[in-house]
Parts: sequence; C-alpha cells; structure tokens
Amino acid sequence: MAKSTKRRRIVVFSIIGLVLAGLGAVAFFRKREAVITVQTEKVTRRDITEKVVANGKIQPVLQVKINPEVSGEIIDLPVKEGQSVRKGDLLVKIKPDFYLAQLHQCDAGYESALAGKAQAEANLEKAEADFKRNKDLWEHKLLSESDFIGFKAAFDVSKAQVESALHQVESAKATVASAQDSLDKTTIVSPMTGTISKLNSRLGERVLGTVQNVGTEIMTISDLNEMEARVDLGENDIVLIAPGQTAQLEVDAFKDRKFTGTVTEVADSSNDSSSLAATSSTSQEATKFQVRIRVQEKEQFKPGMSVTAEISTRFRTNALTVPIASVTTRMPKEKDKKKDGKLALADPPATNSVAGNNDDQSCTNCAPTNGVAMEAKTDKKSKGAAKPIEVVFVKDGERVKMVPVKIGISDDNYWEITDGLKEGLEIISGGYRAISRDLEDGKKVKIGPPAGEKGKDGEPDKKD
Amino acid sequence: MEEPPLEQDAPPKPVPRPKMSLAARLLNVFAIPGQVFGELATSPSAVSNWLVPAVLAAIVGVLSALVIFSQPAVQKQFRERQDKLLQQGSTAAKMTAQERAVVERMTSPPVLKAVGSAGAAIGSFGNVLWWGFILWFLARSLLRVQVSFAKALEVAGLAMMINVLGGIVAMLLIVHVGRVGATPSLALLVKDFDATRKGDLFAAAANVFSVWVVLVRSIGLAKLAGVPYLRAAWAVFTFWILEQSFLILSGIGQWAM
Repeated sequence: MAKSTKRRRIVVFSIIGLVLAGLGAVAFFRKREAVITVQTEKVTRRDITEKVVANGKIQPVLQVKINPEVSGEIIDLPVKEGQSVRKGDLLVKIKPDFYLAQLHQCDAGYESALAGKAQAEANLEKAEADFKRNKDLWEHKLLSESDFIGFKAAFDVSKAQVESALHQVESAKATVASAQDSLDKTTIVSPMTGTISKLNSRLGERVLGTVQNVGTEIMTISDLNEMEARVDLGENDIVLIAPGQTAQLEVDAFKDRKFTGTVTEVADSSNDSSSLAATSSTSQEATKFQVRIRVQEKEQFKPGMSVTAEISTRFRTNALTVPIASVTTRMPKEKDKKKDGKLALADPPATNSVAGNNDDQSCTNCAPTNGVAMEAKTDKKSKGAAKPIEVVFVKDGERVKMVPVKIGISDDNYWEITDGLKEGLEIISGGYRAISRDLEDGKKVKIGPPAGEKGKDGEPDKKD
Repeated sequence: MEEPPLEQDAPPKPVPRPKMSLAARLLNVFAIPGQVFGELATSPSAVSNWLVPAVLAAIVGVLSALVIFSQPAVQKQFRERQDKLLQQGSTAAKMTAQERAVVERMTSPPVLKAVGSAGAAIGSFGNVLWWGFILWFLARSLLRVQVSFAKALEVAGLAMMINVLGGIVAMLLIVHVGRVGATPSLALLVKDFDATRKGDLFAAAANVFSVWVVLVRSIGLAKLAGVPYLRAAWAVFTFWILEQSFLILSGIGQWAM
C-alpha cells in the first residue's frame, strides 16, 4: 500500500514537473508579439482636386450708399426698402427753404455787383473824358502839370474800379451758382438702376451732409442681378487662391442647390490690417483675407445671406493616391536620416500625372491632419533634433514596412503621393490607433474589420 | 521435565503512521488527497492548512497578473475590447472626450497590473473562505453531517493548491499563446476567444484544474463527513456547475476573465 502510494506520488509529480518545465521553456524562449488588426487598400491612380473651404456672405457686386451733401429735414421719401428704382428716379427730397433763401441772397448780391460795375463804368467814362480834355490843354500848356496828373490819376482809379467791379460780379455769380448747387442737392435721384436694399432714414428725419464728409447714410441701392460671395480665408489658404479659380457655393437659404462661382478678387491685405488690432503683436484674432467669388446663377439672393464656398485650387490628373487615414508621421530611423532622402520603396516619380495650374512646387499646406499632427518636412540641413516625417505602412506578407513618402495635394479622402510608392501596393488604411500609434516597421498584422464592427455572420472577420 | 511453554511474542502493534508535515500535505494533496484529508479529519485544526495555500495562491496570482499584463498581445486585446465597449451602445455617445480619456487611463497596463494583482490576492483568500463555507454548508444541509467550519476551511485551503498549480500553468499558456483565454480548458480550442461571448466563457469554465480541484474538494468533504465519495462528489459538482452557470449568464464571469 505504501509502495503504491509512493509510486502514485512519483507519477503525479513527474507529470506536473514535466508540464511545468515544458511550458516554462516554451514561454521563455518563444517571443510573442502582438498581431495588430488592420484594414488595407491599394495605391491607385485617380484625379484629385484640392479644395479650400471658406464661409462668408452673399453681397451685391455693385452697391451704392446714398449720402446727402446738404443737411436738412427729409420732406419727401417716395421709395421703400426692397423697391426697384431706375436711374434718375427721385429718392429723397430735403427741405430747400434755407438753400432757396441763400440763393436769393446770392442773387441780390449779384445784382448789386452788376450795379456797382455799371457805376464804375460810368465813372470811368467821365474820368476818361476829363483826362482827354485836360490832356489837350496840358499839351498846349494851358494846364499845370499837377492838375494834369490829378486827372490822369482819376482816370486810372476809375479803370481799376471797373476791373474790381467786374471781379465782384464774377464772385457774386459764383456764389449764385454755389447756392443753386446746394439747392439742387436737396433733391437726390438714383445714380443707378437697382433695388433699395437698405433704407435707414424716415420721412421727417434730419440728415447731415457735407461736401467733405460722408454724412448720414440714407439708403443703399444694390444691383441684385449680379451677386458675389465674399468669404474669408486664413493666411495659410490665401496663397493657394487666384482669380479665375472655380468654386462650388452652398447658400444656407437654398440647401438643395449648389451654385457655381468664379474667383474675381483676392485681397492683398488682411481684413484687420488697417485696425489697431493688426499692429498689436498680442492680437489673438486669426488673420483673415477676403476673397470675392462671382456667382454665375441668377437666384433670389439677398445681401447678407450666409454662404459656404469650396474653391478648387489645384488639381492633378491620374495621380498616385492613398487614403488620407493611411498617411501618418513617425520619427525617422537613423539609417533613413543618413540616406538623406532615399526611400525604402523608392520609385521614379510618376511621369504621367498632369498638374493643374502648372504648380509643381512643394505644397505649403500639406501636413497630414491625422495621427501626430506635427511638422511634415524633411530637413536636409538639420543636424540637431530630427523631425517627424510622413510615412505609409505597406503590407509585406504578414508584416508591414514603414515607407517614407512625399505628399502633394489632397482632397476630402485622398493624398497625392509624389514619391515613395508605386501603383498597386497594398497599404494600411485603418484602424486609426494602429496607424497613428501602434504600427512600426516590421510589426505583424492581420486584416480584420475595424474595431466595433463584425463580419457578415456577426463574427469578427478571421481572414488573414 | 517439561520446558515451560515459550511465551509467544505479542502481535506487533500497528506502527502509527507519522503525521504529515505541512509541506507534505501541500504536496501530497496532488497525488494522494484521500490520505491527506483522512489524516486531516482526525487531527486537530491548524490554521496553516488553509492560510499557507491561500498565501501561495495570492503570490502566484499577483505574479501571474504582473506577467500576463506585461505581454503586448494581452495589452492589445484589452485595448481592442475597451475600444469595442466604448463604441457600442448609448454610453459611448454620451461620453465626452475627457471621459473617454479617463476610461483609457483606467485601462492602461499599469492600472491593469495593479487591479489584476489586487484582485488575485483578494480573490485567493475569498475563494478559500467561500469554498470552506460551501463545503460546511453542503455537509450540514445535504449530507446531514455535523462538520466544523474550521475543518471545512482546511479542506478548501489544501484543495487550493490545485488552483496554485493551475494558475502557474495558465500564466505560462497565456504567455506562450499570447491570448487572454489561453487557459488549460476548452477555451484553448477557441481561435478568437472573446470574454463577452457566453459560449467562450463556458468553454473557459471547462478547465482541467477547475475540475481537478472540485474532485479534490469532493474527496475532502467525503473524508470529513464520513460519507461515500460519490455522494459528496454529487453535491460538490452540482453546486460548482450551478455557480459557474450563474456567473457566466449574469455577466460577472467576463469581468473575472
């Protein structure tokens, strides 16, 4: 009995020992690595158009603000907001009494100047006759020289008085014209055909107007047949915009329709460049530049409507593209730094992609927005701290290869690849965490559905 | 002269079996549990019979947690499970980015190691106490035998040594296979073990060491209560099956995994 007990103990402990030793040895020597579930896509050629999105307002191309040049009370306002007017139509009548009185006063002054001129001319005539008569006497030595000089002086004075009177007449005449002009300005007519888009003043209100200053803004007349979208772009995007580029416009009031437009004007200075804030180095507001886009279609737009514009800036035809999610940034390896631009899967740059706008320079706004959003330039000159570079993970059997790439333009879904990949390569396009954090060169991967999704039968996709 | 009759030697007295030391009991429970528990039934109570196995189980549990949650493959599985749970259901929609960040921090490897270790340590002692109570209760209620709670605790404690070995084997398997469900059970046959699937949890419950420890507990109960083994085994196995089913169907089991 004791022997069988002893035998049993030996057998059991031997089995336990063998199992533990075997598992321990396998666990110690065999390295396990995590297999990352990913999704893939192929590098394909497609046409890609870069777009810049901006928000703004619809405004008329031509818009005139009506300000009076004379002050007074509005006694006639025969128009209302929204009314169509033609060129020459009466818009506003200001009380003319003061200016009428002024005109009469000026008229009287003019008449007085005329009378003064007639008087001066009569005096001149008399002085001239006296001078001639006494000159004859002086020549026959019948008159003293002093008397002769006296008559001569009187003649000269009369001539000067006539000249002065003439100038006074002219001055009075100009005053009359000015008073007439002021009187005329009490009646304001429309300078253009359009629509009263804004009416600020009412009948009976007093308005202020001067020749030098702007004065009260009584109303605004707009030509609603020609409308444009005025949108604001940031300083990073404005460099991509040029007159002539096309745009797709979405107006909030017309949600089911898309309109087309053409860029007509690009601001050379920012919106706040003239304000104090612009000169302040501590200004917190973003710098914006205005772009004007002429709307091609005619629609019942109203000034001030909100609009979103998608401006097509650059395009590439038949370019190599990868999904935006597949491009991320990583720190370059030591050997890649030393290669100084040579790439792991380098391919001659694509020769059959056509660039739009003849723009083949390195893009200024091409940093990927997923993953670690950091500077996206390889700095050949830097010998200090390395900067992250754009990479794509290429599936190579069960593992991935990290390939540095050069990116061009992008649209909503794809990046253009200008260097580093060739058509047909299978690249990792998801999941987000895998691409942005987990994946490194040589990591083992398997193809599966994104996290949270299942395959057709409700089970995770087990395809390897 | 007749020789006096020879005095016959008295039959040899049975040599009392030497008492097992604690170490011997802890080791012999693997091979000869019947003898171990037979001696236990007649010997005075000793706290070391359940305390030492509980401590050993706690140590093994803590070490296992530290090793398992250090494996990249295991960390990845937990991350994927966390992502899945965050994206599913209305909870995800109501979570702000800040709350999601807090959840992610709470399931980071250091936190998992800490929680796993603490859970293993507490669970070890809890397991001994729980099964001590169950054995005592089964003896009194089903087998109608008075058994002291202390003895039942000792039986549960000594049987715990099977779990100690099972914990070591499970740790080595998980490290080798690289999967949380890689325990010495039917779950080893499940390619894509998912702790949220009840079928997978039932497969994990069919663990070699779990069945072994239930067998040993049955032997212990039978020796303590002085009843046939089959009767004790019926009671213990029935309770174990009901307990596992409840844990799995209620959803508590997936968090234990």
